[in-house]
Amino acid sequence: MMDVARLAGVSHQTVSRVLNEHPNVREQTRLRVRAAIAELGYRPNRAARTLVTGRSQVIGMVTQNSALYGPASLLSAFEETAEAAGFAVNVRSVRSLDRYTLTEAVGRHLDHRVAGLVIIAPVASANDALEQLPANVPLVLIDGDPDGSSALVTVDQEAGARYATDCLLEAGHPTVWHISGPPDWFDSRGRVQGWEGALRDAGRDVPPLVTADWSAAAGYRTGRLLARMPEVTAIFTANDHLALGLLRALHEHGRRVPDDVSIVGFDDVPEAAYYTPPLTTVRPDFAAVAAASLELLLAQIESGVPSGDRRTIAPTLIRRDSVAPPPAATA
Amino acid sequence: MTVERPATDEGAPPDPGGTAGPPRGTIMRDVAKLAGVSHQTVSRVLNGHPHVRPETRLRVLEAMRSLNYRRNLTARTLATRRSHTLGIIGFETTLFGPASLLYGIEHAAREAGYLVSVVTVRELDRRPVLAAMDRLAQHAVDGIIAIAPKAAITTALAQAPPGLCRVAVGGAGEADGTPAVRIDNALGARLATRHLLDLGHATVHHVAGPADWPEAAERVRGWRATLDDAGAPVPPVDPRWWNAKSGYERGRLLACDPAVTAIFCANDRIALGVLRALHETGRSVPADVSVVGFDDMPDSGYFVPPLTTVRQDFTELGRRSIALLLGQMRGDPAHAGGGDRADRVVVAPELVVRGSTAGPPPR
Repeated sequence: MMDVARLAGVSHQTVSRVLNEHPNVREQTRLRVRAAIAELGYRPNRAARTLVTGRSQVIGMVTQNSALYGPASLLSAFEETAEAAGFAVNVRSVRSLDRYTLTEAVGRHLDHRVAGLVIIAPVASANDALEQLPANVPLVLIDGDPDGSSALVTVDQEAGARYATDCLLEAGHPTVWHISGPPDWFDSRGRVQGWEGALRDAGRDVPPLVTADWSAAAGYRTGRLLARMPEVTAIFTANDHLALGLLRALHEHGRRVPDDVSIVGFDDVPEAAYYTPPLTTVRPDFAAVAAASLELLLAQIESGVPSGDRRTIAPTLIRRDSVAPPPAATA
Repeated sequence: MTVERPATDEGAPPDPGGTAGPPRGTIMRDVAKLAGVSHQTVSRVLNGHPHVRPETRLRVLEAMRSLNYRRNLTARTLATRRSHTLGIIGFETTLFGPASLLYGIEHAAREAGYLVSVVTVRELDRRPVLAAMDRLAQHAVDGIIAIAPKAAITTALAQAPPGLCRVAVGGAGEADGTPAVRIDNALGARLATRHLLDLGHATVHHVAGPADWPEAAERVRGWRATLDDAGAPVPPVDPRWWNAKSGYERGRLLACDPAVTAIFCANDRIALGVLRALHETGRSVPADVSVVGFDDMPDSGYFVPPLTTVRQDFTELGRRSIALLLGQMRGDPAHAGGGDRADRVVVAPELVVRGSTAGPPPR
């Protein structure tokens, strides 16, 4: 450290401040110290340091390795929010959220003395593992089990599905079909509940549920069946990729959207505005989810007491061109 | 402030979780007994050894938990400097390319028996990349893989602490002495452009990605070279961001020009926007205009019409980058970096022909 101070032309104390990420160091000075560290190959040894302080300003995240839009956006939004608040975020990306894998990932985070844990836990299979986690660690789940006991922040899936379904009913459709996501995802379950609830509240028939996964391929596959059924005039899909595959299937069968069939998606992926036709969909507020998650986590870190607080963040319906009244019943 | 302590469990302060342990030897014996395995197996699990059956690992971990003992990795790391964790530096992880690359690398790392720790950087400046590398180094990762679409990342990687193995994956791989894995973007652009010329189009327009991304620049280079080779005129390019909006805006202009019959787009999202613009303008694809993308996203086969595109094999990129990193970590001189060819892996993309390309309309 003396060498670093000498090379950077600063005091011993300044080097220490930079290493401790003290806020009151000028950017230029910080850079000079960092450069000196790089030149000397000196690694500020966080492992040794946390042995002394017992606490770091790192938040440990666990997420399932996924290129899916929802989880990827939640992860990215949380990283951004936490970093803006001065935390570093370390992400353990796991193959699946089973008991063994999750326990190990969390264990590694705890070994590094993270200040708190945030786990994106969208599938029911994670429940078993989550029960095994130590109770005294600040923890917030994102998109986890609404019936669990941990602190939780979720998109209000049920409300989003109601907006979508009501929007189609208001356009005059007698009922709405639903292509759902995989059954073990809480997102899927919440959206199915909202869809069913909206239909029942309006006194409409609930058509059989069409179960798929999150892919355009599944939307296409199920869409080829629905396209052959003339009584199907309105479909709510559990995400936008499913809607894209469905649009393709309807196009191939000569059924026009929205003239013959209306569609509402979920997610508002950046491409949804450029589908043929531009998609009416439900937009979750990932930034608000991230902000609420950090807030709940900080409250636990500060109080030292775990909580079961929960927040649900309302999504917004984005109206574009894929919804119209049903075709006039021609004999 | 940095106090070196003896690297033993006895030397560690009480765990904040209240699970401070008795001496390591006692614990190991108890865990082994409870789990019904040998002392050596417990040691393997503690050291993250890859050749332990998952069931056995789980049994050992559960025995440790029921004894209220959590191995003190912080202390152990000081002793061995090995964590069986690879660090990944990610960037723009919501774009399809970087996200898929991240997925491919993580998958390959775990296949090789490593855990994965990811730090995302928000700006492609040297400084945030250095900070990310610093953080991973502090967590004693065994090596670092950086998704490096821009030169700033490889420049920063070159400043990695000596002894820390590293690999750059992505467009800017060739920037300096860092071992690198990338897709042959120029070849992909050649395949796309050649395909359109072979169908009989007089020339091919290009909607380019951002000019400061080497992979976008490489695609422009491959496209231009193919047109030059064929003696076809080279239309102007107007680089844009990697999204459907860019494709739509550029597509609206191209759609108004009846001379435009073939468009090669720098990625599939741009192509989606171009398709939308052509549709709105009443130009039919592929009867009036042919469109080719780049990436082959899972969605691309379901566009209207299904998109002809250039497929990048992200699984293979992940596999090759992990192989290169592990080679370095073993001290294999061929993977050590320094400008020879063995540490420059280039993966060839392939053309996937679907419904968005055909011959030009009859004049």
